[in-house]
Amino acid sequence: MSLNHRLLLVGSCFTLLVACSHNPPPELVDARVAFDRASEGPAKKYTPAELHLAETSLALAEDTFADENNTLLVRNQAYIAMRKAELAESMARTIKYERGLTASELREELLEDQDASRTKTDLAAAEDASAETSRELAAAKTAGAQTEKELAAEKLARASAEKRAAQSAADLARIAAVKQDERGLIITLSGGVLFASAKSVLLPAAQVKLNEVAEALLAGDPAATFVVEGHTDSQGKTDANQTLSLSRANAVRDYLILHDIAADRITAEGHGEDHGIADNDSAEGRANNRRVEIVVRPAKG
Amino acid sequence: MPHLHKRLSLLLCLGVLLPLGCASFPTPTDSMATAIASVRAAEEVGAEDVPKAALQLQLAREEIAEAKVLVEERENESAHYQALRASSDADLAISLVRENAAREGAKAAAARVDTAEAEVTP
Repeated sequence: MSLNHRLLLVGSCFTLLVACSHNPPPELVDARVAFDRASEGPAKKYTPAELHLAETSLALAEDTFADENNTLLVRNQAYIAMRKAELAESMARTIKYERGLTASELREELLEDQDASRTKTDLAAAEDASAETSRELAAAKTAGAQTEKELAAEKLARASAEKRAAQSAADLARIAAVKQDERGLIITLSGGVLFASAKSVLLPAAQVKLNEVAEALLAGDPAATFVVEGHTDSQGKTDANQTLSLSRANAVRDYLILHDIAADRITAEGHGEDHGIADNDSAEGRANNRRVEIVVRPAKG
Repeated sequence: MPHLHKRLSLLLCLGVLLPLGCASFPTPTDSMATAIASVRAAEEVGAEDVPKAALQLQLAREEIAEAKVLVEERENESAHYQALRASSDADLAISLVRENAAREGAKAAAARVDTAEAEVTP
């Protein structure tokens, strides 16, 4: 082997030795990657102090790698630097989650407040509605009491009216023939007592009787109304009888009005010979047919 | 004779300095204690129950065991670095446990917020 060859071989071995000695161990490569990743992630923002420690550890490993031929030391230092970088990352993520948790909790509190506020509003509305219902109930109760009171008063008034009507009917029964039918209380006054034949002027004796009738009617139900009906027998012309019956009814009505019966409570009707109550063939029957009836109609309702 | 003296002096120096050189790195009592404490802390926070943390905890335990062997072999520097590695693994395990708890808490809170929002805005 020539000298040149020997020199070449020695040079190659030296170069190889140098190259091998400057290949970073896998721990150092991993540490660099871990640090780069950490420094670009949330650790930069949330855990800068821990990231700095990782950087210092990595720098120490790099210095050892550059200055000393102690691979074991470099590997150990690089491993520790890698773990410090990972620790910085983990701590940063933890802070991030905790802040997220805080944000969620704040949001949750806000929503709970909103919910509580809504519940409060609903409750207030319900209370208002309840108060309104109570007021309405109280008003209804008052109205009910008033109605009840009015009903009681009305009942009392009706009882009083009925009593008066009964008394009136009793009084009338002493004065004239009285009967009750579907039209009301019927007071029948004989035509012969009230009027002269074919006349519609009241006889003096009739006036005495009608005075008593007026008093009895006034003492009765003040809400009752009266219809004075004139009737004749079938003697003579029908038209004349009709006219006569109406004239007699009006004569009685006028008299009663003069004796304090309100005009709007009393009307007069002439029925002529149409509503006879007895046989017109006999004198007695005709006498019964010649009559004036006062129909007392009780107040409606 | 002077040669003999020189040789004896050299042997004496080597006999004294060599053992001193081997024992120049002190026994890593502190770093070992720190590592053991970190492993214990990781166990107490429940690193066994979080897969990533459990891996780091296992590495730390193995490194402590290795460090103990190295101490017995008077390889104190190597033992020291094994202890440091164990500490860094155990510390990472603790952090991973905390991270896991924070993540689960955040997820649960987000789910509660979703539910609450759905209730507030039907």
